[in-house]
Amino acid sequence: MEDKILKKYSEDRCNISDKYMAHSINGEIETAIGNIKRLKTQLVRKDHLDHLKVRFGIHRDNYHVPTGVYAVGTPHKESPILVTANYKLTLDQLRRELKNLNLWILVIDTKGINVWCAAGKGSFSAEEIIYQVKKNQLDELVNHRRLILPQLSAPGVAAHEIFKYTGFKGEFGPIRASDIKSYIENGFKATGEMRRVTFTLKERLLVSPLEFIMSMKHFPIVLILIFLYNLFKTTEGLWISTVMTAFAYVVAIAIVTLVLPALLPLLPFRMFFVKALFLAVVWSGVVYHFRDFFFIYGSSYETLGHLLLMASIMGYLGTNFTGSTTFTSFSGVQRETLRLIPVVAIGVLGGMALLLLDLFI
Amino acid sequence: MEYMSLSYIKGVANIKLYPDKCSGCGGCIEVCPHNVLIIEDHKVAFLDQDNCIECGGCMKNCPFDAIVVKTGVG
Ligand code: SF4
Ligand code: SF4
Repeated sequence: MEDKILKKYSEDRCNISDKYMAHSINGEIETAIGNIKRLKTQLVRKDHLDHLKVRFGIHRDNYHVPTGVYAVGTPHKESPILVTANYKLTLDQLRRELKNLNLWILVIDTKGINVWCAAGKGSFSAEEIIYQVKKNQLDELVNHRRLILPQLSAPGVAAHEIFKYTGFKGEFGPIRASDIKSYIENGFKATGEMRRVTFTLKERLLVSPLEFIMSMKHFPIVLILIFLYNLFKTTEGLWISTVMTAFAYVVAIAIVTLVLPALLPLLPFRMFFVKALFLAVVWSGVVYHFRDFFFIYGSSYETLGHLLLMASIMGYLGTNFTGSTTFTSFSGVQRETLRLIPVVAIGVLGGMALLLLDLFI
Repeated sequence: MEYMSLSYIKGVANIKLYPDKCSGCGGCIEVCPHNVLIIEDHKVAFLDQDNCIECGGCMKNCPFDAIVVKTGVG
């Protein structure tokens, strides 16, 4: 542990630019350890724009917050200290819930990653907190010896280590920033409810757009393959048939990345790829019924081939979605992946074989 | 409760308890985001092992190494 803390001193780069932060700051307050910037608790339009960009995967790495202590309201020597990650979205979600509160926020260096992921990767750690507590002279800033840690940092932070090296007692606060006010008013006690992770419809729909966009990354390959396939078949109506067939695939992808998350608890089966295949069967029925519209009416080989390929993609993306959920375990995903691989292999090979068969008969 | 209706594959969670080492301090219960653990007769026990997501928060915050979780990489 000692080495890890020492290593922090040599690694520290305090050169994160705060130009992305200026619109979030509202003056400074004087303290025993110097002037400290005060955070706004109201998000401005620029913040919302940033959030939108993050949701759609634009410049996601560009949201580091400079580490150190910030003030909220007019804190004093008895005000609580909240610890958080130096990811802008994380800090924004926190500060917007702190209206009318007076407290300190300690932003630690998690390499611009949110609390949960940073704890898993080891950058939201006891040694980083210990280092920042010392560097920022928190023992001079406040009279009490309590740090409120986000509960989701627990996989990375052994709270008892912090106490051992700094004298500050790390206490895990609630999971959601919106509960912090009641947690403090409650005398620093979190109810069972505050300690449970949820995955509500709203939370699921918030991860969907990024999921869809990420899944569409490799779509050009599918498009080219469909184009080449159609080229071999006939040159008549090449463009329209390619576009319409590709459209069926886009909807298939949209179904797993948007509909599956929305209906998650309602879909049968536990494994995600089976849930996705369930939707694939439904979608196959629709495509089959409207096969003229999608230009995949060449022969039943062709139709079946496309349906198998679509289902394989959907099954794969279904398992992929486990990565964005809050309640799947690594062992579970491993088990599911082992089942998924043969299914997708058969689907893809079978689908391609049928499509080729259609070309040669 | 919505989180109740969301549950993943049963019987795979890789977590072991060593109640002999447990002091009953409750630290693990405080950090668990999925209500997996309880204290029974002053020792840690499972409330619902299948809810465990193998995050390792309980293991990290147990001062007595009474919980071992095989956490996934990444
Ligand atoms: S590993 Fe995580 S989810 Fe599993 S019991 Fe421990 S704290 Fe709870
Ligand atoms: S944290 Fe460890 S010692 Fe404390 S109750 Fe849990 S298992 Fe027992």
